[in-house]
Amino acid sequence: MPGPTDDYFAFKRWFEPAHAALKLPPDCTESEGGPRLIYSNQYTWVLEWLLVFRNPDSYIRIREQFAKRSRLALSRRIQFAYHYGPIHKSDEKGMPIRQSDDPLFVRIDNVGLAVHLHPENDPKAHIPQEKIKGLVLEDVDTFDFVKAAFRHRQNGMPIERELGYRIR
Amino acid sequence: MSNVREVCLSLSDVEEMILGFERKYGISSTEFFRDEKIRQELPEDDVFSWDAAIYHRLALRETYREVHGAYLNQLGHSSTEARPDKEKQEELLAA
Repeated sequence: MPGPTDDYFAFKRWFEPAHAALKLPPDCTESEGGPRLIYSNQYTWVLEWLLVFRNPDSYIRIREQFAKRSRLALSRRIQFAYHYGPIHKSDEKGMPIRQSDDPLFVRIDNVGLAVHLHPENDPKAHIPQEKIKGLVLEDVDTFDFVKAAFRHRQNGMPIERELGYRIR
Repeated sequence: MSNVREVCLSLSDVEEMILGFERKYGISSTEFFRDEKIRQELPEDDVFSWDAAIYHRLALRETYREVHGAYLNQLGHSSTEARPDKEKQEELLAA
């Protein structure tokens, strides 16, 4: 699950120690000095987190948006995008720029469509939950995703195995 | 120790972001928000950021309404509470 989503402070209390406990591989750096929590009020915030690897150049980009749906008392995750793939192009600040057909290792998101997965062999495809076995896409946690990417990089096993899914 | 950074957005920050997307794609935020076809044609990263900016704007406007409402409420109370003293002072001065 994406951590407690009741409000910004509950999420921050959960995220900060979990982030502090995460051991980054030696070839991994966090861009912009670390994750950013961007908020406008107690119930509306975005997490942005970019991790960059060198040799071979690749990156993980985490983006999650939380807000209250009308009339609800607590916030929930509205959108998320977990991306892990090679770096193809960067901007002047060295930030990876992504085109939708760029090769990737895996991407899970619910941007513009119901939650889906972009697989390594077909980055433009949107594989819906019904075709994924072994993993509930909506329940993937930020840190589970990041740790799976670390393992994939370290041991070279397929990312499907590290995240524990199969496409039917 | 976590190096998480916090960024607090203001209404003008958010308005600027939204205007940037409206100019970039030549459509209003209402069209963007309501038209599924348009949303599906835009890059996912921009859809995410534009959507988030709209939610931030809604949140900030709601907060403004709440704070302004509470202020007006307080103003109403304090003016009714203050009036008798003021009236008393005026009576004393008149006397």
